[in-house]
Amino acid sequence: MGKFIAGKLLQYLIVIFLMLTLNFLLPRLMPGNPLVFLAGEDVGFMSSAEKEAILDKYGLNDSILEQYGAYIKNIFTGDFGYSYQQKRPISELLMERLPWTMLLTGLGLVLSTVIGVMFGAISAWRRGTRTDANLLTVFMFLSAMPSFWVGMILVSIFSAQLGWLPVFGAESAWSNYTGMDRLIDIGKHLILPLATLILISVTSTFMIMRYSMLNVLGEDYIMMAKAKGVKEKVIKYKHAMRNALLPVATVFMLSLGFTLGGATVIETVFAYPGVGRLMFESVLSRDYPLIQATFLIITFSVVIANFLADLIYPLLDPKVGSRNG
Amino acid sequence: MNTVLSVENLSTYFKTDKGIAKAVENVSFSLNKGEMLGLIGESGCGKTTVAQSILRLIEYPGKVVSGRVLLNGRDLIKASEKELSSMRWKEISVIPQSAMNALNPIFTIGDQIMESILLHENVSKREALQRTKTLLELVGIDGERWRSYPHEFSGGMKQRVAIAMALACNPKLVISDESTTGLDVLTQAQVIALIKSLQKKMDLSVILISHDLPMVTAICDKIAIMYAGNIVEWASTEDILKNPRHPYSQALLNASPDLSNPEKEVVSIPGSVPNLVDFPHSCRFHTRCPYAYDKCRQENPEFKEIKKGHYVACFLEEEGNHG
Amino acid sequence: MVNQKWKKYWQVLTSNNIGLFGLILLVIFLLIALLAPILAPFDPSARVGDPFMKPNSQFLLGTNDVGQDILSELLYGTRISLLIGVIAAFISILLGCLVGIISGYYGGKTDAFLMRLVDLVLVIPFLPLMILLAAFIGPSFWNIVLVISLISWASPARVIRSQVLTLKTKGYVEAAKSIGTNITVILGRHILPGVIPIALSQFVLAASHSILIEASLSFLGLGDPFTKSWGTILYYAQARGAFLTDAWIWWVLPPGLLITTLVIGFAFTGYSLEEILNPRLRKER
Ligand SMILES: Nc1ncnc2c1ncn2[C@@H]1O[C@H](COP(=O)(O)OP(=O)(O)OP(=O)(O)O)[C@@H](O)[C@H]1O
Ligand code: SF4
Ligand SMILES: [Mg+2]
Repeated sequence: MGKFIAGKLLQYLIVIFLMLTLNFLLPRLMPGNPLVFLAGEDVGFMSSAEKEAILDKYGLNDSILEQYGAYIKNIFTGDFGYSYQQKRPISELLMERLPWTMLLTGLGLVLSTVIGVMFGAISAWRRGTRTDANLLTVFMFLSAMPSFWVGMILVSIFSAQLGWLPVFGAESAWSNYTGMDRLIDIGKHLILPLATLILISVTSTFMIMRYSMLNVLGEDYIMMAKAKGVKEKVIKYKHAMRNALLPVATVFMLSLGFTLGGATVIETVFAYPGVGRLMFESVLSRDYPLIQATFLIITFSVVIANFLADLIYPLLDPKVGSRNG
Repeated sequence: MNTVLSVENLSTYFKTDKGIAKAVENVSFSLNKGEMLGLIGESGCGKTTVAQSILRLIEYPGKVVSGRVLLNGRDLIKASEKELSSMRWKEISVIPQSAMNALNPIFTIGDQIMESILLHENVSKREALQRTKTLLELVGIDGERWRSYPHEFSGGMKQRVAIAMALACNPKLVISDESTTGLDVLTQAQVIALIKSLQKKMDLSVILISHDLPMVTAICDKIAIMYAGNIVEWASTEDILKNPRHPYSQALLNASPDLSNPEKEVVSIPGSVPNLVDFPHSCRFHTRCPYAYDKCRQENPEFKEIKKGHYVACFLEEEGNHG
Repeated sequence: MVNQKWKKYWQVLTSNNIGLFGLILLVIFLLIALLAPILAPFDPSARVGDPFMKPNSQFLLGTNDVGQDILSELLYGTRISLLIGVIAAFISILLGCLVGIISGYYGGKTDAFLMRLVDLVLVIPFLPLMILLAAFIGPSFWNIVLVISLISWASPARVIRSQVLTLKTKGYVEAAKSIGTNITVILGRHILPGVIPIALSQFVLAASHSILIEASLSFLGLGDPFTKSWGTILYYAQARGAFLTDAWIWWVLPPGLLITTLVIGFAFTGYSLEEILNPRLRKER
């Protein structure tokens, strides 16, 4: 098991290293003035002294290796650079936005997994019936809809037309709610983005769960349990469920990246103040350092979440759990 | 007579893309206490389907369409789910084909054996564990290994675990469905010897499904020969060996290498098993039978007792002009 | 013989309701794309009406913020969405086949290395990476195609590899290798015929993904500014707040429905192709 974890860890470190390198090279290799990429499009309005200061800060006059070393060191000490457009250190901006993204995607992942697993299992248990066919069709359609569009339609219906829920943001501005009232306000703002995120990411779990449950149901040990006289409910939940969940756990990890990507778009639609929305804003204003930093932070989150999932996986699968003790 | 199991006119069909596959049609036989019956036939002839029909494990797209399966006088086909649960494993158990996959990978083997004991008997967990260890020892596995997961065992050991599990609740009847497939020859022989010795020791009735005719003739009291969904001949091992009546039985005996007479030519049966979908009304063996005549292509021969305890389905018996 | 096999696939595909439905959708969209100049009442880039007009007999789906006919925009948009989807999918499947075949054929260290690479790529959150790349290299038709295909080759590569491995176990390949058969012959005779059908179903599925990704990128303002895709139309609808007014019914709903339908067309075709090629799946239904 130690070996399994170590292998995974190495893999993630390589991902991080590659993405850091890509981030480092992009502004320096793209044709055009690297200053624009490092400091944003406003450089045109800067005095030459200011430009010198920036060149100096990024060490653009040093050798590329020295620059690279300094860059890595900065990232690992939490220094993501400075947004010249927002006139604030980027790490500060990220810290402000990160909790909202974690709230949205964390809840979204958990709920869409639970819902997908439930319906996937039901679909498999009733294979060949109308219920199965209907569920399949519904979930196929869900996965075919563009995430942002689902969000827009939900806003049109529930906020603009019916007026039930707020249109955008994570909390009402200038309201100064406190305590319970604030929580309710946050909850109301969360419903639509969360629903959108669940709707668009639930299908992959559903499909995998259905397929994996079908496979498990065809296994001899399920028939054996039946022959032993084990009750159907116990077979479903005790014997089949955990086995069927194994592939779901693997896909769960893969879908992390997808969900976070989806969150980027959804946060944009709802002007939800998370990291994804920050990325969109930085794209709009061509604030390149900020684009890069948001990308890095999203990648880091995915990798860390993946790693956590890897740590949990052996608890589900004795084959991995007992390997090498 | 002390009949444990009696199967009467059992038919099981499968719905397939191409039509209804009559995988088992009109099968009848019975089994006495302490008897070992060998069920023999080519791959795909319906042996597993018979076993699963008896155990009532046939699921969609399959269905038992007719017949009775009397276990100690009670009809399993008609039994309610509740009755069935109480009879399963206590009265009838199975060592499945590919016992390798019969163990759930996420539970220890001890848990799986104990589960069946706890399910059917009113005993404490400790007692169940004690019995589990004894059972493991019985099949030649260290009792302390009950904590192991299936993947930590070799194929032969898993097979033994499956046997131990089948015996957990002292059943009266055990169905062993080719439970040695996938094992090397030596282990196969060991497992079969184990089943035989346990059968003697516990006075079990056993249905031994196999396509290894020499092995079956060596250890079974009676033999039923299946062809394309029918049992074509059922008799004592002695009668089958000395006086096989059905052309298929004769061919089968000729086809298997005779150890006592290695000079004898090995004949393989020409032709192949017919498609079971929409099978025409006829003797199912007629496409490969050297004696087939007009009647065989139009009617299905009845499964008849030609002599005490010797049943055959072939028109030649009725006409009395056996070749 | 090969021809016969394809004929059989075709028969199964068309006898399968889902597959047939998907195919019909694809044909319809192809026709719309080809016939856009005939079907569209106006030039989609011309200001033919007042801004923000409601649907009327002249402009069936109203006009947008600068007075362009939305219906015409949608009809022409089919071309971009379809084209980007298909080209990006094609390139990513080509890459996927290359990696998958090399990996499966050579095995050993090469295989281990390439599959590690695939694992790596699959971990990366692809949409943010695309946004990053698109932001740096700038929005244009080909850049979008490039970005999508650079990131979508990984999972097809894995599928192709396992197919190559299955083909290898059939023994012809090893046998051919051992008697020193030329690699191009082995590829052409033993590997490609087995890989192409799988690659086809992967291609169709990849196309459905690419269309969704393109829509997302365009919606984030990273689409080609000169050719409006459905995603771009929605970008403007969002930017002008159309979804907060009654205009959502004619400006927001239709492009999304079109995207969904096109994606469904590809997905249904792809799934039933997969089902045909994977008898295991077929049995279970
Ligand atoms: N789930 C199923 N769906 C359709 N047909 C089936 C199904 N299960 C079995 N059959 C058909 O029923 C027939 C009998 O199969 P069965 O498994 O009973 O054969 P068998 O004698 O046990 O063969 P083997 O020696 O290979 O185990 C076969 O023709 C098979 O194709
Ligand atoms: S009934 Fe006819 S075809 Fe069938 S076994 Fe007897 S002789 Fe042969
Ligand atoms: Mg069988």
